[in-house]
This record gives sequence, C-alpha cells and structure tokens, in this order.
Amino acid sequence: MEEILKKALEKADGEYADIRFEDVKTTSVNIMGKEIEFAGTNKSSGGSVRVFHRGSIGFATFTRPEDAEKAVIEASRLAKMVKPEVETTLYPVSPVRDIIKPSLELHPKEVPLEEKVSLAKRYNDILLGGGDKIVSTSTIYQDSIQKRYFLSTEGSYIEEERVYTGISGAAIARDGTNIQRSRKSFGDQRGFTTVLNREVEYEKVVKDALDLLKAEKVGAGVYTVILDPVIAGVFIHEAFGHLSEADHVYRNEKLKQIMKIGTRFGPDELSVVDDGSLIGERGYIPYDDDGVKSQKTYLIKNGILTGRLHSRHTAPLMGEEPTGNSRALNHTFIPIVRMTVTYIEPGEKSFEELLEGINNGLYVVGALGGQTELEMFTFSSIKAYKIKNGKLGEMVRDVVLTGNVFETLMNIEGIGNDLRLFGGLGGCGKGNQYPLPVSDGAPHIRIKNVVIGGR
Amino acid sequence: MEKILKELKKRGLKFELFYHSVESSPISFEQGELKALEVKKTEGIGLRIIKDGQVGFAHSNKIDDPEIIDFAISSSKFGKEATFDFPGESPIQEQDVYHEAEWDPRTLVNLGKEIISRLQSKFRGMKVDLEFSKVVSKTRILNSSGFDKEYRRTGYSYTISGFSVLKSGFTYVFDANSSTRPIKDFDVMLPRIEKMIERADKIAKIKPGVYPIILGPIAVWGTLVPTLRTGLNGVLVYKGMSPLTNKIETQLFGEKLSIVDDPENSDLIGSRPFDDEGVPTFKKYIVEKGVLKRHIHNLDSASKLGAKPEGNGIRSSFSSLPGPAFSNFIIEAGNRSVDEMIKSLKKGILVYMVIGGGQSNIMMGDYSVNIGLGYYIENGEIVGRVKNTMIAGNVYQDFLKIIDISRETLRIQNYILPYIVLEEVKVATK
Repeated sequence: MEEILKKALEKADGEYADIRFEDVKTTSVNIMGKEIEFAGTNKSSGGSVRVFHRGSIGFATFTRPEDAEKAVIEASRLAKMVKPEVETTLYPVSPVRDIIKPSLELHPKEVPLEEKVSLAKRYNDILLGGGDKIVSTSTIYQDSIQKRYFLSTEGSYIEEERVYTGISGAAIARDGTNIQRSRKSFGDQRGFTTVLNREVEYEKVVKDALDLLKAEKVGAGVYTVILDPVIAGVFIHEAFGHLSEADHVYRNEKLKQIMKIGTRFGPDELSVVDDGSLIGERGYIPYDDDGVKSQKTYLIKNGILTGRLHSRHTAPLMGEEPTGNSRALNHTFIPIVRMTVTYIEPGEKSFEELLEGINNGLYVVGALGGQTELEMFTFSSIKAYKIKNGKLGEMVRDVVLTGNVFETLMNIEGIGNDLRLFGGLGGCGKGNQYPLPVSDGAPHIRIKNVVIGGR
Repeated sequence: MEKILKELKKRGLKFELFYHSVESSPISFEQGELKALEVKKTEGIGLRIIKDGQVGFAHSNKIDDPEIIDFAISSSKFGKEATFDFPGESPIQEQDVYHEAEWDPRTLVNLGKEIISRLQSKFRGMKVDLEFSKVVSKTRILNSSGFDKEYRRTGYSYTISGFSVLKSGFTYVFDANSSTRPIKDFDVMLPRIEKMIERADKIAKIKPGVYPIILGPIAVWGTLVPTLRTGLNGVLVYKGMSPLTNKIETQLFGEKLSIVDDPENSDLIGSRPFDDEGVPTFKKYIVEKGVLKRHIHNLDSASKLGAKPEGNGIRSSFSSLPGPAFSNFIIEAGNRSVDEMIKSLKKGILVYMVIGGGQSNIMMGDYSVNIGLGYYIENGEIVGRVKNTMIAGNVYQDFLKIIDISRETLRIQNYILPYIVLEEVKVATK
C-alpha cells in the first residue's frame, strides 16, 4: 500500500499534499422492538488527496489505491484553479513514521456474529421486559475495525489500526398519547469488553422510561440546577468546545475578542481540557489527520481562557501552535478543526455538598439532544428531579435548558469530584461531518440562574 | 456488477441489487473565504436477499466483488421475516430530473465573492458561509422479479448563512435552495436575507404568555416537519410508536393545511420515476385540508399493515436499507402575503429561525425551541427583535388552529415550506 500511494503522491503539484486511505470493516446489529432490523458485516475502502497551493486547497476522492494517481492530478489542478486572496502556509512539523496497533483485551474480530446478536438481544429483552407500556425499543451494537494510512509529501507515513466497539439501548414507553423514552450507550476503543455486563444499566433505562410516564412536566422558569456528568459533558462540548475551534475564531474579529487568551470565563475552580491522547477513549487519536500527534490542551485553566484547538492550517493564522485537532469524518471529507476528548476537570465537592442550600432547583440527568448557535444553546435532558430544601424530590420531564454560554459558565457555583468520560455510539457533527467519534465528560456541576423552557 | 449478478442467479436467490453513484463538486466559502475546490466520487451497491423467508442485506463499494453475497447470506440468518417480495416490471413514468449544465468553478467563485461582498458592505463585519454544489447521481435497481431500470438526476444547490453582530446581539440567518436545474434566483435570496437582518436592529421587550405566531418556513422546518417525518413513518406506525396509528381520515390539523408528496415536479431534487425499491412513484396528498389521508410506506411497512406500497421506500445511500420517506415534502401555499399576515396581527411574533428543533419529544408532537431570529409585532408592525425567548407547545394541538398560510414559500432541499400563522402559542421569556 505504501509504495503505490507514495508513487501517486509524486505527481502532486503544490507546496504540500497528503493522501489518506482507509479500509473499514463494520459489524452491526440493529434491533427495533421485537425485530432484528439488520445484523451483519460490511466492508468499504477508499481514499482522498489534499493538495495545498499558496493557501488554496484542492481535494479529490478515489476508491481503489490504483486510482490514487488520477486523484492526485485532479486535486492539484483544482488547487491551482483559483488564486487565493490571502496566501497562507502550513505550520511546519517534522515528518513522522509510525505504525500503531491497538492492544485490546478482547478484539471484536475474535467474537462471532452470533455472539454479538445474542448480546444485543439480551439487552433488548431487558428493555422489552418492562411490560405492556413499553411499546418499542432500539438496541444497536456496532464495531468498526479501521485500517488507516496517512502519507504526506513531507515524508510522513502513519499506519494505524483503530477499533471502535459500542452498544446503545433505548426504551420507549407509552400511555395513551403520552410517549416517553430513555436511553444509554457505551462505546470506546477498549474492545469487546466495553459492551459486556451492562444488564443493570439497561434495567435502569427501562425503569426511567416507565417512571417518566408518571412524571410531571417541569414548570418553565429560572432555576439553580445540578447537571449530571453526562449532560454537563454535552454542555461543555457543544456550548463551549465548539467556540474553542480555531477555524471558527480566526476570521471572526468579534469572536476573537471574546475568545481572547487570558480572559476570565468562569470561577477559579473551572478548568476545561481537550485531550486526544487518552488511549482507549472513544475520542482518542494517536495522530490527527494532518499527521500531528495528539496532546492535552487546556482550554480554560482556573477560570481563565488559556488555549484553543488548531490544525496545521489554522495555527499560523493566529500565531499559535497546532494541537493535533485536525480531523475528518472519513476519507471523503477535508479535515477540519475538531474536538477529541473534552471534559471539565474535577473539583472538590461531593454530590451532597452541591445540593446544599438549593431551595428550588433541578437535578438534570442524561442528554437527549442539544443545539447551539454561537453563544446560545439549548439542551434537552432525559429526566430531572426537583430539588427542594437541599433534597432530591420527584422526577420531572420535558426539561429543556437554554441560555448564553458565557453567562452560564460564569454562573457555575460548584464542581463535583466525580469526573466521568462518555463515548457512546454517536458523535459530534460539524459542517456535514457527522458522527465523528468523540468523548466528553464532567463531574457534577452546579449552575445558578438557568432558564428552563418547560410547558 | 455483472459478476455478482451471475453468481446470484446461479445460486437461485431472491435478490435486489441497488446501485448508486454520486459525483459532487462543492465550492465552499467559510467566513467569507474560499475553503476548497473539491471533486468527490462515490459508487456502491446494496444487496438485499430473501433466503429461507428472511431478509439479508450487505453493501460494498467494490461493485465487482461477489463476497457481498456471503455477507448478505450471513446477515439473512438473523434477518427480518420477509412479508413482501421484490416488485417486478410495471409501467414507469419517466421524470425529467436530469439537466446537465456547465459548472465552471471560476465563475462560481466570482459569484460567491460578489454575494459575500454585497452582504459585507451592507452589514459591516458580517461573516458569510456559502456553498454551491452540483451533484450528479445514477440509480439502478435490478431484482429477481425482473425489474431492471435506472435513472440519472442532477441536483444544484446553494446554502448560505450569515452571522453578524448587531446592536441587538448576535444574529444568524440561513437560506438555501435546491433544484435539478441550475439555480439563478440570487436576486430574490439576497433581499430576503437583508430584510431579516435589517428588521433585527433593535430589541423589543415582551411578556411571557400566549401569542399568535407567524412561523417562517425555516421555523416550520424545525417544528412541524420533524414531528410529521416520524409520525407518518409507516415502520413506526406498525410498531405502535406513532401517535397517528389510527388517525387516517381524521382532522389532524387546521383546514388550511395540505401536505403533498410530489415526485413528479421536475424542479425538485427528490423527484424520481420509482423509489429505491423499484415501486413506481406518484403525486398524492398526505394531509388534505387538515385531514390525514395516508401514512408513508416502504415495502416492509406496507406489507405489515396491509397497505399498498406507493413509492416511498427511500435510501440515504447504497449502504442503507430503504425506509419510508417523502420524495418531496410540500406544504401547499396559501393566498396571503407575509406582509398582510404581519399587518393582520395586533400583537404577535414572527419566528424566522429557531434553535433546538427536533429535540423535544417529537414523537408525541412536542416542540420547545429558542427563537434564534424572531420579531415582535404590535398593531400590524414589526417593532423589534425578541431575544432569550422560547416557544413551546404541541404540533398536534397548535396546528389545529391555523389562521393562514402564505403564498411565499421557501425551497430547502426537497421541501417547499410556507409561512404559517398559528392562533395560540405559549411563549416563555426571561
């Protein structure tokens, strides 16, 4: 493979070019209700070429390695077609030669399809076991074994085997026109063991779905909230993390001012990190798609903005250094600045200490979805519990949080000591590239003055 | 593909071979700067087989490798019970959806620069993301019942979003258009965007409560559309997950609302002669004058519910199984102009962009969205922009009371959507 791609790359006409090629084998089991919708294995492969010419990028895809040369020529032609307004260069790095293999306790390729099907069925049966009110379930098992190649005209060659394994299960309960759902997923790069022994977790999912049928809708208003590690992780990724992506910032004077290094963003206890070097996590990458080694980057340290995420393309534009965050969803996309494993560092408070003194609050648990637009965000949770006089009360549903991320970060009043990271089966979306495997996480977080749009 | 076909016939399997190729050449500007010129080509096949009464599926981008058959067979061991057979030859009406036209990156880069500089000169510091795209696709379906047909289709589109900092705060607007023919209506798109931003200059204070709401097309896309896409889905209907299970021929919405699935409109990028299972398509009402006429089916859901497949088995790519979906989702336009709608309201809100659509319990019809860009109307005039405000409610309740539907519509992907005035919507604000 190296030889044929290297030869193709010799035809590149520009200051810099690289080729990415991937061979992917995916096994999935998809169960909906009582039926298996699909169980099986598929293969796909393909590559792409990126050529830089005075800051212009030409990009072309190909399917078979022997077509790489044609794509190199096509991408070179496109790169030279339009003269850029601003000439840019890539941040210089030394070439890398590396071959990476995962060390897994149990590689999913060692497990027969039959066993993957029966595992997914077992969890699905737990979800279905909630009785007549459970009208449907969705259980998905997936593993993806990826052989990835990266070559650049600077002489880099990286060969990597990457293995993702994960399971997700959702239960949908219905009572008349009242439909409620709950779900949980587990996924990372630790191998097949990640999806084993999750029975208790799925018993909780089905119980939540049934309890939500009886839960009251939350009243709209302004609350002090405690976010659980799941939704706090989604919050820090969606609402703040994306603003740390340099491609959003560098051309935008206003955002540049707001995201000025050294600015206070939260209380002293708040530190936020993106770390792609955490082996085994779903968001782990040994190198990014520019061939830059992943690293731990502090975005906020002790409440102060200290860094942001870069590719080799964006770093020189802001006079900063690459952070190993240039990633493409797959070979058909140009890499852009993305997160890896993004989390809030743990503080010192126990959950009980966070609850203290909240007279009228909400404990918000799990994430159903989220969307952000610049500094505004909305997130919906799976469930929540009322907090009355420092104690957890009854469950409520339909909790949608909304607000301004900068105000919300400043309103953080307490950070728990119980950091957890989550990968799951989904991922992050940006510019049509979805779902990119990432992890996010946090300890429990207490925030005041959060607007809840209930009904 | 011939090699695979030969092998399938040799093994005497019931099969369906779906071939799809896509060639796209997007030209994208990010925050006003040209990002890249790209050429992307993908092709692949999806193979469905029926073996021992069960459905198996596999896909591959190696279109000559018979290994796909073994993957499909091993998948059939766990597959769904086949309650349908692949359809054979039937009269197919050709659709005029293939329109080759010149695609010169240099011209488009210049056009992009013009659009961007016009917006930037009007709104200083505005950041514009813009993408032009041309897609040429080819679809071919062959099956063991004797179906063998193909068609080609072109898709031209633009999406544009502008971000600016006004006195009233961050402002984000979005616009898009898609057609099987080259798009030329930029002189309509630009004033539409400009008007929305000009109106957002100052903030209007409003009180929480219940207001009449004009939902713009993009807001309809974020509220009504996700609910109906799930509610009408035949698979969710037969699994008992849709609230619309026993609702055919009942009054679901206000009488002014009619929704059409139209695969015959030669301008729309979802038009097609047959669906992705080889079933002929045709134009039909899904909701007529507020009454639900039918659910949307693929072969599987139609057979499970004893309904007729009507050409709505659609795949997102060769690698996915067909699911029930609209060819083109069209809400029929009304008679009122948007300006007349605004004039008719004593107090109300025009909601143009929403944040957070599709996140609530959409199956139940719930929506709860932040108003990204919206305007307060007093005595028939826009008095300013609303901020930190959410609208929340239930599609199946709130769209029963429709006051009016606009004659202006917006075409986004394979949707045509108007402005809709709802009589009563709950509004929460800080």
